[in-house]
Amino acid sequence: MTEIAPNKLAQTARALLRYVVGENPDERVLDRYVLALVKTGHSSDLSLPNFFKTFPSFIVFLELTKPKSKAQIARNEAIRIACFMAETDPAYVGKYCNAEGSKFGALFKLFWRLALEAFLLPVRMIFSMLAKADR
Amino acid sequence: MSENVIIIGAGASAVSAAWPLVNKGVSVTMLAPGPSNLNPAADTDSFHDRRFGDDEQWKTFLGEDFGGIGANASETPKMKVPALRFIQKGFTDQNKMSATDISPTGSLVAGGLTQMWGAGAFCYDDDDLADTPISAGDLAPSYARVSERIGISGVKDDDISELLGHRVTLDDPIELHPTLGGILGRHKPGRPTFRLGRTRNAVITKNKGKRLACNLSNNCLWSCSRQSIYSAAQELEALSKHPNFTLRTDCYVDRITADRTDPDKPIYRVMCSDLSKKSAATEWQTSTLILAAGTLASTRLALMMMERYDVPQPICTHPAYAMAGLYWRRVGERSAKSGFALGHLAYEVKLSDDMDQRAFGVMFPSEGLLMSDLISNMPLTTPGSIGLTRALAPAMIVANGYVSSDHADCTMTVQRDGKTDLIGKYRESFDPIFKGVTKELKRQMKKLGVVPLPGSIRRANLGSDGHYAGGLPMTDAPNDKILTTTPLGELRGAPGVYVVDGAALPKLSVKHPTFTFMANADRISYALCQRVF
Repeated sequence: MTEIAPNKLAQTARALLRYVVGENPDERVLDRYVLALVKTGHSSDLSLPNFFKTFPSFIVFLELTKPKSKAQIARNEAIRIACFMAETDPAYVGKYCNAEGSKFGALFKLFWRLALEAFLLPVRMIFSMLAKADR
Repeated sequence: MSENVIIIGAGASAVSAAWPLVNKGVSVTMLAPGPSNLNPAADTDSFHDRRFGDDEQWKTFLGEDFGGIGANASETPKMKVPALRFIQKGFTDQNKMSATDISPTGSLVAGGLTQMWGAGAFCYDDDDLADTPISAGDLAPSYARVSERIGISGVKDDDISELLGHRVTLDDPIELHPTLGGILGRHKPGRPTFRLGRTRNAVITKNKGKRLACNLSNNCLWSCSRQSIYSAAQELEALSKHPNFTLRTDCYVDRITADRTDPDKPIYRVMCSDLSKKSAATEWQTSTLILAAGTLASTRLALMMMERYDVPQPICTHPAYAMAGLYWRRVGERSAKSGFALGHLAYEVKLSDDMDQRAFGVMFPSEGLLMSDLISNMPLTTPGSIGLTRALAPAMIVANGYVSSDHADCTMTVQRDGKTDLIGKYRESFDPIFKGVTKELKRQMKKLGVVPLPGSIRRANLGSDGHYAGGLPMTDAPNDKILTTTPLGELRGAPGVYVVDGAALPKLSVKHPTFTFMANADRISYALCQRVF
């Protein structure tokens, strides 16, 4: 992996993938994710403050509803790619597809998630308004 | 029968034109720029099993270059499938096409665009063919022959079957997805503005030669290895078994010229190059030439042959839209382990009896798709959207739809050096019809228990579905301003040149046109057999 991407990119990718899948990512998927970022040309403007690398859950406040700067756009795009990476691996496809779970469980999680999003959305919108565009 | 007919193109229309001639014993040479990439019929894991068990699935779904991730979320899903990208590769560059507000679509490989089509097979009726010199009765025998050949599944006795045509042979319908089955179960026939029923697909539910019946593997969008979905490429092998048929897959047609020493029977010289550069350029001569390279390529070749440079030639495409909805009763259900990912239901929205005030479309389940594109368009956080999708996907449907090509104004202009400009624009009439149709569709969907997803209604780029027609339209009388063909597809001013693909159909109605292109090719070819050979 280090041959493909420098350490910094790998750390950023690990944090973003962990944010998307909600757990420590599988190394195989992480390697592929880094490769995808490089091959699709989304690695150059990608940056993430160290705090978010340590606490990836807080990336939720960086996922702006309306990204303005190159770094913000690159981060949102990298999150989108992480989403594809996770969806195309057996380790995480269960997060996208309710293959075994009960309807009750799925509905409970759905309402919990919606409640959480209802709280997060205004915060994210405020962060988006405060975010600065490139000069 | 020493006469040699040259067919330019090897897609659905070309194959449909070839069969009557070959069966009649006429010597036919088919020219295509490149070979198809037909996979042998075989069983592969279902979409569900691959997703849960295959560590290398990303190569299938995204491609080793990750091109399947795509930057353009509004692109239709099949356009991003790695295994299908070869089909359109190089088409616009090779034909020197530039486009403004329209998406040029075509193929340089044998089999053409049917290797990635949605397989909807619908007959045009007299309303659809209004303002054209042919009637539904003219096409009826051809619809029957083509349906027998390619295999179509569907039903003949529901609310919409009259609209889809009765003169076809049908296999048993494909099993309905539970969500779409639930929607259909709530539909009450007889509504004046809305019809709904089982769609018809060129997909077999019984084995047919080397093609295996659909086994509901849900691999439809990811290249059906069983070849249950019809593709013209499948028929090239059968055609090639006839000694009077030759397929050349190293012939990109650069130019056609006419030797008019005998003005009633010109000799056409077809000059080709091999795009793979493996063989030398070739030249073919014939007095009977069939253009079936696809609407855009055929129109371009005809304009160049007739030296109509720098004159805009009208082209038709029908504006398309898509919307997503949720059948709320199935929210949270387990996802289906098997299924069919193409159209299950067909609908018609009718604002008035005027053909221009209608829309027609097909409804699909969403479970044969990757969800990441949808997730990235949701206004929630990505983990939130993933969680939401998990619960919603089994209940989600996608409906596409088309309105008549009268609502768009498109032209092709060819320059002397071969550069080709396509310009597309919506007519003023489009906005009101788009608003009216989508409003009525939403209203009807709600009655069926489907909640339209906010912001999900989108109009597609003109031409992005590859439905093009009318470049060389059949008319009863000549028209000095544009190139036209006779009702039998013969290009006016070029005796012996027949146009059998979409270019000959003067306009596109609301229905998916490929089946009609094939039937029209069959009709012209049959007439050719009787008149010329």
